[in-house]
Amino acid sequence: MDDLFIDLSVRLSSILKHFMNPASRLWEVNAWTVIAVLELAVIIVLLALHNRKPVVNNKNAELKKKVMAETVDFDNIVNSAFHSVDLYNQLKVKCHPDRFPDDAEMNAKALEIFQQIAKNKNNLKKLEELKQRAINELNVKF
Amino acid sequence: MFANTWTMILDWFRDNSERGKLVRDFNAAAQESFIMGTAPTLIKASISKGEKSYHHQFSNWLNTGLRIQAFKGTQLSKSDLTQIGNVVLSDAVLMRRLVVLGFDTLEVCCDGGDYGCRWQIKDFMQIEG
Repeated sequence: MDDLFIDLSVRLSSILKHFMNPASRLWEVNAWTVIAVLELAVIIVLLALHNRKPVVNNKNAELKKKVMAETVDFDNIVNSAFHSVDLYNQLKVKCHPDRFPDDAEMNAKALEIFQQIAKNKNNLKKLEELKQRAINELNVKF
Repeated sequence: MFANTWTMILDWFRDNSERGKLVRDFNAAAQESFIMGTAPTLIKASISKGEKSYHHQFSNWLNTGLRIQAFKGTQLSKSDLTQIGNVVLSDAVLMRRLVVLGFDTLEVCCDGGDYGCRWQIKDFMQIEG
């Protein structure tokens, strides 16, 4: 901000010097003077805009802020692109509820895990968690 | 009016910086996975022109596509390409971020970029999160 004011004052003084110089004719149209005046105008407009309170769409800004605060697990995305299919195919066979027809409790657990597997078929991290759960709860061997 | 325009200009620069950061983060993760040997193919994200007919409310003025290129040397099959696309599309957090940053098209293609698949991001927004 201070730099901007120093720049502004230097430009103003250069313009004033030009007009005060007896060698220069006062109303002579000089391209550089016009450019300097235009620059001055732009600086004044920008300063005025800078000091004004910005008008923002609060709803959109809040939504954007909320979304940007979430972290994206790129490592999981990249690894899922190549390894999730194999693990999904393995899990869907091993954890199918039809493998536990006699035990109602195990069947219910298997059904729940199977639904989760189908829901997260493209998420390697979730599938690995479900694999661990299947080992612990369904006593499945991989 | 001026204040709004000024805010729009600032937002545009901020969004562009965030878009660049997203692409850089994706590429860094892909590169690391490839170097570590966990990913058999190097994939690279970049910003592309996008498809005009896929525009939505948050779409950017230009360059609205996210292109993912798979560098394998040989032509990837359609199922490989769709698998990469499906993984990206099924990540709700990434999808929301892509929409907010003005992307509307996801493209997955091979090295040359002449053969690939394209999705309209709007169709895969997961509202319930």
